[in-house]
Amino acid sequence: MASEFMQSDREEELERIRRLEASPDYQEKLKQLREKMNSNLQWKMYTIICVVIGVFLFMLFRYQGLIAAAVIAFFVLYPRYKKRQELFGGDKEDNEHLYVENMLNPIVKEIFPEGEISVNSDFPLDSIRSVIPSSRTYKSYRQISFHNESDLAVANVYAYHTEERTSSDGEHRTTETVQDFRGQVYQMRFPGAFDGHIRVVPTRTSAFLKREVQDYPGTRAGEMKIDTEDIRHNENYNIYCTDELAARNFLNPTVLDWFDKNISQSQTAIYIEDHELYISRYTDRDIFPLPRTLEEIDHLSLMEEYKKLRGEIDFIQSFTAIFQ
Amino acid sequence: MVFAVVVILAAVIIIGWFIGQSNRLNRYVVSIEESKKTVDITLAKRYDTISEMLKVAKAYAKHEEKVFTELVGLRQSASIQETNRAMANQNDVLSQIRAVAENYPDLMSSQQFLTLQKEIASENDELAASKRIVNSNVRVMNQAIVSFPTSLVAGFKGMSKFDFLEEDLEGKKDLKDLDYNID
Repeated sequence: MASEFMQSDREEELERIRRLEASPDYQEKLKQLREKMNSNLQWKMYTIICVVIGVFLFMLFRYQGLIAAAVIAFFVLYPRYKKRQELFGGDKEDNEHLYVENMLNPIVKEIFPEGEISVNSDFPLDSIRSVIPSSRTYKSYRQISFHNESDLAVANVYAYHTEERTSSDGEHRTTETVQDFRGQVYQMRFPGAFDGHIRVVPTRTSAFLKREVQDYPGTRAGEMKIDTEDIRHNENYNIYCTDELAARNFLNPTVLDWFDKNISQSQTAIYIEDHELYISRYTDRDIFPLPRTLEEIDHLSLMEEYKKLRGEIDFIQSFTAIFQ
Repeated sequence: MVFAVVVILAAVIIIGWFIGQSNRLNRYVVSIEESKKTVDITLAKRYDTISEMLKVAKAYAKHEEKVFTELVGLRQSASIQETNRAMANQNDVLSQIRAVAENYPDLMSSQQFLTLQKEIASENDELAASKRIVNSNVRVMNQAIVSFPTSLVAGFKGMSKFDFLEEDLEGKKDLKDLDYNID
């Protein structure tokens, strides 16, 4: 009964999207969107090519080379600059804003009239740091906010640090970016109020001597570490809390079972304080990824984006259903 | 001299490893007992709910002289086999209640019965989750007991494989069949 209702609901949703995409107004918007996104991508590409040619010619012919490069740049970039002026006017927007505002948001509004996707995320950094591995630089972006009863919102998060490496001969030094986290952070209202706070973070054992390795923040001031009755949970997660009773009430069999199911899919961590609940999933990918190539931009379609977005939203809802 | 040192060092490492494994197995036993207690607590809650449902069903079916299976309570520190039996008994009684409810639409729609059905549904979820944890613990323990070289430690301690809680009991299907939708 429920699945039939859901199916008819989906068909209705699909029909609304199909109608919206077929409307002449939207077709015009879609054409403009593709042109603008293509223009942004091409502008970036040609600018890089011109700079590379410029440097090359300067190295070969010095100032004559630079003049030649400027002439090439004028003939290559100026027509594109004029085209961009026509397309954007004085209001230049990058592809991220264009895609989110003109493609994702209209779909979200059709599914959840109260919902929205924003380019930047407004999650507090301290809360993000509680559910992801310790890192140096944190970036959160493309946030979907449902503005529903549980105030559910999900954002992509990327955290990294840089490391200096020296070559074996000791002559060359390079700086490399090391990814500490790439995935999603969920924020929602915790039903009831939680006394103190709790953090459940993944842990793993090293290949050598099977020692515990934890990339996530360890015991903080005022926290205690507790175990559960679930051996698998104890071997895969560490639990830090400030109120043991509240923590044990929260970690009932259903919640432990939920964690166990998630072990095989991705690293999952939780942080709860008062009414706020944060969950992280290390998926090593973005949700709502931007089209990156000219081909992807040319094939942009509301229906296709709807299907992808619907899939992501369905997963978000089923993943968080236990806490709703 | 060197040989003696090597022998002593090897003995220390082996004893250290043996104590470590023995403690690990002891921790597993404690975890199994703890998780089993959660199942027992859920079963005790479920027993109370089924007793209430039984009272309501008996009141509706009093003219029918229907004989229900006796609902047996679970004693403290019950073994896994006893817990399995208690679960089977509860499921049996629940399926009988369901059969009565099908013949009495008034019972099916009474507010008290609907509330109890909701409680049973949530207790079934909790029971299923806690059973999965016990069985997962038993699986980890049994794997350790049969895996070499931990099997040597388990054999020395006289440990044998643990029984699983039964996942799919006869009456479970009937429980699932109950229509828990209130609307």
